[in-house]
Amino acid sequence: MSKQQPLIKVQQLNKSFTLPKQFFFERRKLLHVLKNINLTIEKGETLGLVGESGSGKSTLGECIGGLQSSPPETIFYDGKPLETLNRDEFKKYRRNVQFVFQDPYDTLNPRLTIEEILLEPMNSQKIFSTKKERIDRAKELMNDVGLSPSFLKSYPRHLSGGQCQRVAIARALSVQPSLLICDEAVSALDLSVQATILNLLMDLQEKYNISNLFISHDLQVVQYISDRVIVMCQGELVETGYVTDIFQHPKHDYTRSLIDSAL
Amino acid sequence: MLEVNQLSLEVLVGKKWLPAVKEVSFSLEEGEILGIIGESGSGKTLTAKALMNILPPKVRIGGGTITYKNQNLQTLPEKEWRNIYGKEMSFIFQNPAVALNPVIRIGEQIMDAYLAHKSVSRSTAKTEALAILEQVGITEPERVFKAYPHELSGGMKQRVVIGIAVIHQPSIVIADEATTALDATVRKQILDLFRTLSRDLNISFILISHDIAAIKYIANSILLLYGGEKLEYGKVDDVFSNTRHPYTHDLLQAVPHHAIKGQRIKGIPGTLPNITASKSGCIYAPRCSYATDDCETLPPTLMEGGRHFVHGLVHQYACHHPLDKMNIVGKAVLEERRHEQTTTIN
Repeated sequence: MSKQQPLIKVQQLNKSFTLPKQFFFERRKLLHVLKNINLTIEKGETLGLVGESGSGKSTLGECIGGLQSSPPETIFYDGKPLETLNRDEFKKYRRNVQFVFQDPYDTLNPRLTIEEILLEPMNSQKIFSTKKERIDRAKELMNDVGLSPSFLKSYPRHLSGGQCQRVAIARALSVQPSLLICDEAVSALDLSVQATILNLLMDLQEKYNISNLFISHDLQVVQYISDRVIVMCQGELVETGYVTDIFQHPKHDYTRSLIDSAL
Repeated sequence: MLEVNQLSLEVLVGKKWLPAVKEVSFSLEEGEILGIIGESGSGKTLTAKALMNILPPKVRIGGGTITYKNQNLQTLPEKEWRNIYGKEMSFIFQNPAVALNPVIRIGEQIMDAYLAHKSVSRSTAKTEALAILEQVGITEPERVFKAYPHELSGGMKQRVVIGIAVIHQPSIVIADEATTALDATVRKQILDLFRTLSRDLNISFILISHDIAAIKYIANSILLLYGGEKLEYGKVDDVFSNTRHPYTHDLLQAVPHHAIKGQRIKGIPGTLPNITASKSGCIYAPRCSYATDDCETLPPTLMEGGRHFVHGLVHQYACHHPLDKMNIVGKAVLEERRHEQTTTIN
């Protein structure tokens, strides 16, 4: 192969949800959430995705991660369309694409210890053969995200919001993914903690060479962390480009209004 | 107009009352916009709730006074404070979707609020309601008047809630995280609305938020809370351009403002203090880069940094080692000279 394949390629992705019927005989109405989306995510880059609430940015993230169904021949992983992957390949795809969500308290099971939370994905993906190896890996991960391994025996309720988010990041990294989808991953955190989590994400990305799809409504954060930025408005992709181009020379009116509204 | 003096709040944990807010004082003048900044667990919402007399059952006022126009709000009989709350002081909450009743039309809800304090006919109330909708920047008041909350967008709902809050032309509006749940574009419009209302109707605002950019954009004076303690208080330009407390400095550094990838922003190491953990010494000491042994043991007293030359508000801060603009600049110059010397020697 002469040219390196992009990690993820999205081609003409349309996605719509059916709205509930108001009357019994009414025809089903569709709500078009994503309209003709084209994008690529290269290996090792951070792609920022900004837009207002309701612009479809989370749905796009979920489609890429395989949490939402998508039409055939629209999402390609390493050059292969998602629907042609067989069972084992799809499991591997799931392993390679990991999520970090907004509210760390909601995404960690309150009845499992941190150790169990970190071991669960490694068990289901059968990454290490012995339990000792997995526990060693869990300790290593805790060090990676800046938490003391002594937390392994505690429950999520004993940790603060920032610490929980670090655990969520460690869990996502435990299966050595190639793409991390951060859906508003720092929005719920306090300012002083937010900065440390952003730095952590950038350090880990460098260490493990992970691509990152960073979904956020906060322009300043996206500007800080991304290499390239995609702007979405009402399900359409209105502008895409490198960070400096978008923020200094926005071409689309919507992007301009978004930048002007920053305080 | 509003004066809060040495207010302390206590939370019931198990069978003990633990201090959650410690001796916070501030004052509010007519037409002033005061911003209260704090991270989670700093006691900012509790302070606001104490002002509005809606403290949750397991929280009590441990000491201090809240005075509004020379009346002590805590000892006021219920009949009299019912005349003040909702009429002279009103409240705006974070989530406009929850603040409005989903099964009652918008117009009815605004009229309810109006008729609660005025005995006038329904038709007068309706004209008032339409007028207030127009004042808060709704383009089609007639349509919104007949709409249910779910038919409006988040920004419109927040405008309606603001309209309900200002319909009696109150002297104080307390907004608790009023712009946090809104989109960036809408946030700026709402903040601008606050500013026009403050100017046109001469309303004082207390804005409570963790969003420094929003507060910096709109407020006249700023109160910085951390772990239930007042760390810095003063006029906006005093606090932001002549920062004295290391926490304020670190917090401003943590904002990724126009930062470009590659230049690292500075986070603050460590975690926020638990409000119920008892501590001696400065509350920020464990995370502070300037902390010395004194900071661990001695609680800092509130220092005064000189009166603002226009507004006359004293800039206050609680720190053993206050930052000084001259200090920071002086240090940089010294280091530069030292560097020059070493290079010339080499």
